[in-house]
Amino acid sequence: MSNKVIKYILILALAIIAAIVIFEFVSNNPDKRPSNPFEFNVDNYKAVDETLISYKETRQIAIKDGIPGAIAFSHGQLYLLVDDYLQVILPGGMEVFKRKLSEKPNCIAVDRDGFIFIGFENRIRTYDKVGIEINLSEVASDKSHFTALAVSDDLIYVADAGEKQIRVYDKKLQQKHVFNGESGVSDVHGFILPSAHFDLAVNSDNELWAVNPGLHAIQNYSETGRLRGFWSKSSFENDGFSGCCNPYYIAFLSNGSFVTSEKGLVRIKIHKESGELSSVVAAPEKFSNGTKAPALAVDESDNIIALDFDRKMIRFFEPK
Amino acid sequence: MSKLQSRRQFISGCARYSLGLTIAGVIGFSLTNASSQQWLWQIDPFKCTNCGRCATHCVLNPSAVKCVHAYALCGYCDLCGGYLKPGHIARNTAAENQLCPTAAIERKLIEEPYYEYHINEELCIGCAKCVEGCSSFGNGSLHLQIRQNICVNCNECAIARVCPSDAIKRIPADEPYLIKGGFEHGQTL
Amino acid sequence: MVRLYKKHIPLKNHNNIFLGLIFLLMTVPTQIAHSQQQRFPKPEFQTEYQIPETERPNPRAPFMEYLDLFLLLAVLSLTTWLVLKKRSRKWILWVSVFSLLYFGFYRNGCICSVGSLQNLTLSLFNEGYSVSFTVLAFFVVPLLFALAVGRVFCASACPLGIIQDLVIVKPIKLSPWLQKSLGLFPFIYLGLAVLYAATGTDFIICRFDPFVGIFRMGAEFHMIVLGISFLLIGMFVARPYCRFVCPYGALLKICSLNSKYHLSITPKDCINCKLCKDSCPFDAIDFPTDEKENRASRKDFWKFVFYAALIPVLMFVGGWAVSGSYKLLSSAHPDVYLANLLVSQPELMQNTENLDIETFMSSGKTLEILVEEAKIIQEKFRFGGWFLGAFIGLVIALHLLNQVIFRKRSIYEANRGDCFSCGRCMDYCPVGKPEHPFFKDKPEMVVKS
Repeated sequence: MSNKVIKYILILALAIIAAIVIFEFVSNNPDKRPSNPFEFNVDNYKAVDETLISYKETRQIAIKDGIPGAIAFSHGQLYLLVDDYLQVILPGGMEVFKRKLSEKPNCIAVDRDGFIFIGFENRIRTYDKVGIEINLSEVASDKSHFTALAVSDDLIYVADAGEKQIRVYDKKLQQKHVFNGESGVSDVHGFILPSAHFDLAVNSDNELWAVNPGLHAIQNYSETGRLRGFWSKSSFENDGFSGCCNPYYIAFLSNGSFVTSEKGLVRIKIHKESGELSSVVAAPEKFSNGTKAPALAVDESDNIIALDFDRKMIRFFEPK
Repeated sequence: MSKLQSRRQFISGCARYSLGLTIAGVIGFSLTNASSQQWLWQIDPFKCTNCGRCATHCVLNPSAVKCVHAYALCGYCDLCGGYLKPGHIARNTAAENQLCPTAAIERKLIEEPYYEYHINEELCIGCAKCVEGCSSFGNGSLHLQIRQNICVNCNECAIARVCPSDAIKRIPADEPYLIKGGFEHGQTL
Repeated sequence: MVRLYKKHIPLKNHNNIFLGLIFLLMTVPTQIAHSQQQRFPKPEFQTEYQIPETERPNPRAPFMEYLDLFLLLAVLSLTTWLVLKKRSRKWILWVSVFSLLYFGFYRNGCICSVGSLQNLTLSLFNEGYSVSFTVLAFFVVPLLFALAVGRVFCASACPLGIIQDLVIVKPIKLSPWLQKSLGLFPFIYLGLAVLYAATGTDFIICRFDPFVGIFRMGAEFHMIVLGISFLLIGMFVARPYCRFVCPYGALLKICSLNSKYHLSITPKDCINCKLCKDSCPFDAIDFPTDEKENRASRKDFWKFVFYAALIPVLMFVGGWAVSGSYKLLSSAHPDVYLANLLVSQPELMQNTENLDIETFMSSGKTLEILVEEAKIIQEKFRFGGWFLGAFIGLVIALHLLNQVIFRKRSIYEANRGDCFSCGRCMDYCPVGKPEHPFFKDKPEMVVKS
């Protein structure tokens, strides 16, 4: 091989090296990197027909001083659990009062008379209208993990995700009943809780409805634990619930319709009493990607109040 | 030996001793900061955003990053967000219903209605598609870890360089994994 | 929290239980929150199903790293003996093949001495990282050997060097000025590598290592091409990476220049047979100086003074120039790059196609914080740039100065800085081999040797 040929080879190889080094240096910059070829894509299910959406978002209240945990609406006031504080605010955002609680709370409900019931890890405490603690229950069980609370005219229902049970207390915080949702009917399993979350709500007729998330079902129980009815629907489409822990939160409109919120494909919808989809409150595009399901409350004029954990704000949705 | 040579040797000797002292200094100084601790690369599952780069940027092919299953966190759901494709047609093991591009997740009925999900690491490419599905629809029991028996422990991890969330860090080799739900020390989150 | 942990309880303070307790107390609230989040009702299986443990296959046993170190020491000691006493190119070659297979193909090129200097730098500048003893030893041992006996590490321990050594086909001679000028680059590369490692930006030596992809039998396509290109050049310009790129080679060179012992081409006295003249593929043999050069050297005194005076000037200019280009240098840091990008093109913040931007936006970190962090990194580059620039200036100035220092030589000898101790030249030397064809018609020389 002549020296001339060698020289050309060397120059070529040098040029290649220079090109590769520059390429490697530049191509790896954050704006030049490829997108995810394995993207988990649920965009197809995010689109919601505009005519289905019956609510519009009107305003938000940002929560600045802590991590929000739960929300309730009663007597024209919003009851919030933020870190280990109970905060009561007017819908306009003005603070009524704020109280430090003795431990970290999980869930809250307010009864007709304005008494505040707060569920902690494994017990309930009662507070009066201005947030003074007046009663507390026994510790339910070491395994207990209370995640939701609902009050009827004379009973308190607690969703205990740790024991996979619903506990029924009277207003003096004496436990009356406890049941695990098993009905004896072969195709209806007890509560299947794939995650540490379990929600329930009481409608205006004092009926208890609990979510059975493992079955994508919403079930109606008597206070003694007799299954009186249920509906369920698994679907990625708007008409049902997706994933393994949905619906995550439920609430009731005054006409008895269900308001549901979901995680994964984050959305808020209204289902009729029969379970049929009625309309959509907030489509997935309203929420950040990968957020938790928003907690729900409904005010006296059927406005839906959602607690967005990701954006740390209270979001108000009003009928169009 | 000529005068010139001995001068050269003298200079060289001086230089040698000063270099030796410098190296000794570097050793001494480094020893204050050195330990018998060896380091490995690992993913902090709480920082990971499932971007898919673990599958594409590892120097090994398939990647040393695999999906691992923290069984203790799993809901054993029938409707598994990490196993089934969004909009799956049926809840069964048919390939068209599976989310995993390499069908590396094995599903086994334990008892109604509970299913166990197991990762076949031979097939797993560490793409985190199931991790994203599991963390958005499920409990996040599926997550990525660098398999230390596969990882060649590059001096600089090629994935760490492009990780958008800085989730890949050097960790002490005596605790080579950061499995969800059971970090021995109060690390992360 | 990982970072916090390290800050409060540095690894060397294992015994500081008190601090540890305080730290644990501080973390209690978050840990409770954490356990609550993770605590959940496990399915109650009717069957005897036991929830399996997540498998944790073990990494390579830590003692294996000491085996690596032991083998490094063994290879270096053996090579020293082969170079100085046994004088056998063949055996050096076999040892080097072993190293290539072990450190290269079996150990996949990590960790190597060349890259270890970055680990050392990182550990000195980053309190969260402490270099391990083995890595420190990998860095220091070859340097100590170089100080004692020359670059035996290059000859038979460094897989990067050996793979190039094995592909030499037809080495061409480079003109001395080209060889000397290209020989400056390793020092610049060394300085850059230290700066990038110290600022925690990147391990550029590892990133641009052309051969590690070949050892692993897999890398991105362009990195394989890079390795092949180096090998292609290496067929004609022997060991191009070692001579003109390798930053660790720059350190070895300095040590080897002042080594106590060194390979010598001839076992006894040089008989100026010139047989070894073309034996070195690396142009690392210094020839005897001729009379003309000897005479010319005397005129170089004022040049010497001039170049010596140039040292501080070049150091200052270098420091000023490199420090001034801190923006360019620091843009290799991903945070700095991202901050620059988002400041110059704020509309990109809405870009959900870009993973890095999307991840940053959803991290909850504000652009202000990112810009603040980027500024801190840039300041490090500006500060470090002075040292890097001064170092580069010093290297260039010394290089110039070296050109006017004249060393009179009467024999053929290995250039201690450039010689890799590969031992090729030794095979050419007829001294001590009376049966060598060189002596056929000059029997009187045998006696001399």
